[in-house]
Amino acid sequence: MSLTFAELLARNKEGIVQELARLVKEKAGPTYATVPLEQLLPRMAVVFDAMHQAISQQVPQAWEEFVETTVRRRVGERYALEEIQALISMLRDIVLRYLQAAYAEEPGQQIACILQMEDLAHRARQRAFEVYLRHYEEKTERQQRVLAELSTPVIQVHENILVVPLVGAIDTERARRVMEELLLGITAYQAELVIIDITGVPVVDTAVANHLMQTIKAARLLGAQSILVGISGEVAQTLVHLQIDLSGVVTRSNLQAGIEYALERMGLEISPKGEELSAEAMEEASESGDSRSQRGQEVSGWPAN
Amino acid sequence: MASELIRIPILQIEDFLVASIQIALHDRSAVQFRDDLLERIYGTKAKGLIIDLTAVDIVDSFIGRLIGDVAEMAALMGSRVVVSGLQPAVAITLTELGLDLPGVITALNLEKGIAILRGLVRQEEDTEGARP
Repeated sequence: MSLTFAELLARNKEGIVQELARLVKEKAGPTYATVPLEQLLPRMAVVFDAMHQAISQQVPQAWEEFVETTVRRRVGERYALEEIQALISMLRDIVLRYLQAAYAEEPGQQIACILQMEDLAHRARQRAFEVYLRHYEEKTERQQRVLAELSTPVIQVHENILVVPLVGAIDTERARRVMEELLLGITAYQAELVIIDITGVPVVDTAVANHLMQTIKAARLLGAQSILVGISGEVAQTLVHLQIDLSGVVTRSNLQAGIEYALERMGLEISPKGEELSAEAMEEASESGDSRSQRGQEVSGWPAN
Repeated sequence: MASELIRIPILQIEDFLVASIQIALHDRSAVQFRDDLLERIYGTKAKGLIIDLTAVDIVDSFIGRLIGDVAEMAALMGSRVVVSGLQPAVAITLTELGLDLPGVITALNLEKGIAILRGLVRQEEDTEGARP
């Protein structure tokens, strides 16, 4: 009576693990090449044990779970998928060679064992692939989220005044997010004026214009007025050609003009520090050296002392 | 089963009426609300009306249209309507429904709503005073 597959493996454990560790170290890939052989040996022994258990107890599911948890750890350690796949192929090749030698006289048993080994290798490759795929999907998703946050900034430039600089192409998804962020910004800052800067938007078509109008209308419902700035000559031409109605929307040429308009609406203005202030600064400077009077000095160009 | 009829309290502050909606309005309650409002405007000769929707997080097309209608009707009766405290989600819904309330003045909150109404009323009084 010949040995069973499991018995054959158990008997040759030492040899298989040794060979696998050496092969993996040499040929599996750059990350495995950096691992010392003494560390690889116990790791390969763990792989072997999991495989042996799957074969002796007929539990390929346990093998799959083992592969999944192990590969997940390897992903974090920056092993490439090719390296994991190479390891699986190497293990399969070694075991197949043993099977070839051991069951040379019993083709039926040989084929059954080969099929079993191929099945395990196939499951392992499949699982490894899935783990990697999921890992990269999660990574991409995370990056998209970060990008989304970066692409819809809402900035408060003054009490009651928000600026939303839009840069890059606007699609439906992004337009929706801009609208949401803008409206949340309005309620959060209790802003009455919103300056939407589209200097960085390369193409404005009917869809983009429609999204902008929707956003402006929604902002108005909250009680905030929108100012559209940064319409380039090209964009203005497209808007007129497409007969997009922007009446009822305040537009200004650039961000500066928009901010000036907004400040005027709030009854404010930006003005140079005048005579009054420097006189005041002089007075203050003689009494105390606080930061405000020092600034005054710098502006009016007086010596620092 | 008919839903329970809920009446929204309408308060008077100086020359203005304030109605704060705190619950999801059923159609029937909403119609009742509209009728109550118009009656109060007629009764008090209020110069302004504020509908505060801060606590409302869902609005359907019926309520949206009704608010627009109330504004128009109130204007006919000589009263200005300000809608205050709309939630972002509600604003998005309304614009998507195409109900962007063109005739309605909007304000971020009740306080700003009252300030806007005062400004409007003062403006009107000034122009009226300048006429003769």
